Amino acid sequence: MSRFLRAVVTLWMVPAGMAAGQKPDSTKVAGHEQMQHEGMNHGTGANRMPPMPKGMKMPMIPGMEGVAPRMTPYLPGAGKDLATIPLAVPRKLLDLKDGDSLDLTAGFVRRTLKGKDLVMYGFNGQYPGPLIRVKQSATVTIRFRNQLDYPSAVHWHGIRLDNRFDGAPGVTQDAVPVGGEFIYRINFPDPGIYWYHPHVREDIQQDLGLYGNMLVESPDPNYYNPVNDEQVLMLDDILMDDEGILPYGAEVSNYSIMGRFGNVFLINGEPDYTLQVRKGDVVRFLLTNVANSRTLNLSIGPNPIKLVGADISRFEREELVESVVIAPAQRYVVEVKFDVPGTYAITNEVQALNNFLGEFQRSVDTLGTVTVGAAPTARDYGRQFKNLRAVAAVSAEVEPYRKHFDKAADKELLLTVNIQGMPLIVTAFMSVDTMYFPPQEWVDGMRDMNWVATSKEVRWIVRDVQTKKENMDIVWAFKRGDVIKVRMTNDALSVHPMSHPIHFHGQRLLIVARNGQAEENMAWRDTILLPVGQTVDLLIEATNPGKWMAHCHIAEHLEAGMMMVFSVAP
Amino acid sequence: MRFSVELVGRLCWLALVPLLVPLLVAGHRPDLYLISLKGTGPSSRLAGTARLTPARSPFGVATTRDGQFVFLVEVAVPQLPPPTAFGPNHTTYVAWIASAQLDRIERIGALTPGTLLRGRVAMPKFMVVITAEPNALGQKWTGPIVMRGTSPSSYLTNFSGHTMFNGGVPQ
Repeated sequence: MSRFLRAVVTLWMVPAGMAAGQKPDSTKVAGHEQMQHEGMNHGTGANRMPPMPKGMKMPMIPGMEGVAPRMTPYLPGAGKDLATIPLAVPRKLLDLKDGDSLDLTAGFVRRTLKGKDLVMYGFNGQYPGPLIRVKQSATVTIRFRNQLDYPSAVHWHGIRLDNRFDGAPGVTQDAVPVGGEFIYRINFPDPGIYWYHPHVREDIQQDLGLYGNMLVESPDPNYYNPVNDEQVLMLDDILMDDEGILPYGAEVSNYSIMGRFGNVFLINGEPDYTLQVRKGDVVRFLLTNVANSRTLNLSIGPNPIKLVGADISRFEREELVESVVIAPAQRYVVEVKFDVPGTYAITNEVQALNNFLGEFQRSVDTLGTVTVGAAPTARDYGRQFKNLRAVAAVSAEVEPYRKHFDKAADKELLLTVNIQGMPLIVTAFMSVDTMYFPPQEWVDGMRDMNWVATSKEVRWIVRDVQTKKENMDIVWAFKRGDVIKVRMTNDALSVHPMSHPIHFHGQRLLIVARNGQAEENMAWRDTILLPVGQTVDLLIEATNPGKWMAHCHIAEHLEAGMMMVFSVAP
Repeated sequence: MRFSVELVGRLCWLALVPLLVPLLVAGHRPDLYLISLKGTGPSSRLAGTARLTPARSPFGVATTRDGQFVFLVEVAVPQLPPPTAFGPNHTTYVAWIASAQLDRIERIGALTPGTLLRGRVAMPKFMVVITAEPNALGQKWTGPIVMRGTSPSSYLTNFSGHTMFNGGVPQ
């Protein structure tokens, strides 16, 4: 029987209880045993299916038997003798002075996560890559060596550097071949927290550990508030099952609809991050989300969080927030005050969509813990924490651009998707969940359908509304000094709308309005999160000449085409 | 024989379902940020809207700490009869937010036809309900439900409630 006919027959045989609209007994649907999703398990080995998100159970979708992604499974280092691969070590802090050089080598490392010995990637054998600390305006030279099994390059995310060192193969350089090297010269014009990662098959290389932070220090000692401790945290997730890391696609990326959501949460590459503080301590966290796809809603128990900075600058006004919503590639700087002794989980708390049951489901992931000791803080910064500063320097920097806030959009982009050639049963079932899409999908609640979707079938699109050009056919041409207003809308009517973190290389930008409402508290950014069905107006300051990329920072969306270029003439 | 014909016919129809469903669904997909308010019973001709706007957030996604989306609600009903039309003791209309299970009810406020009434909601699935009331101060409604609408998130139903299991016809 053909797969299609089998699917049709299976659908026809859906139990009467379901057709009557009652909540399905998921242990009996279509004769398959309940699985979390063992019943959906398409075998073991190379092209196996991922486990369902924690706490979510779903029976096998009728007709999905035997359906698998049409790609060659790929796990870097497969077959290598683990004993020959160096054991990765935690990252080291590297203080680089103006004019200093650094050798940065991407290579294989051995890691143990959740009791599994794994072959992963690392910069200089570390997880994450070295934490590079520099002074604002410094220039450093980095000799990158590629000792992976795949071409690579390093992108210095958020740094407004010389275009030729931006690390975007196909746009600013050729990919560095296996065994090759490339010398980057990087200057750091803006203080804050930045990160570096490959711009080749990010879905694999970044996911396997190739990422690191750059902390750029301001000469102003009061740039940030005084705190008792400072923590630079890279937030990540990785997708594993009992056999290890789930395979990637060799010739195409997989998980191309929603991106690869991991199920093991990592802070600085570790699943069990811990921090000890004293009662009354204020801790500054410099957060970077390096996950392929997951946007996090972070909090640390009931402890108050003060939002201080975003990607490229501080906010005009500090404000207290309930939690921190941070999308892939974004950075936020927050301060947290710990007044009550105890142990607090660092959690990602969301309302997950259970597409099968049609319910929102509370989902809490623990990324680490903070233990607050009974001993009082050595120095009380409570008064400074309570004070929500207005940062005049940021407002002053924004001020010259205010006259552009209300002008008509110079450019308009629509974010959408086209899916073709997926197995018929998947296409049909995707329509089942198309009546409602939340502004932000926190989990991958349609694992089976996402799993089979590769970049062969899924084309994520950024479309220029005026010219109708799409993705890399778009070439915007600006000149230095231009201030461009871009209106971006996230198409709610596509076959599978999703929120997108859109990153512009090489420039900084302001969000001036969301859904027609003026933004109240400005900060310079390089990556903005655009929820489903919403519109954002950006002001891009074209100050940095060169040809640059703009793209969705969900790694699988990037691999599925969601990128464009723009140039800034000198 | 008749059974065989019915079987073949049913199979043919089902064979078309996967092709038709996406088209049908796309055509019927609700606005994700607009609730259509419809009159009930004797007031069935009444119509209005409750528009959802994401609440302000520095992150672009307004949520509570437990991940509930936070929306501003703007209720607009152009025309309503005098509240006394629904009972002699009714002096005002009141708009409410109610959870899908009715275990949480929050008053938005007194509603005047032709003006916007603004509120805030952070519930996964909810209804906007307009009732006729003796006054606008109650914590729960007491009068008749005059209008109601369900949040776009209410379209999230279990698979059995979807088009796939309904001959391709959206609910």
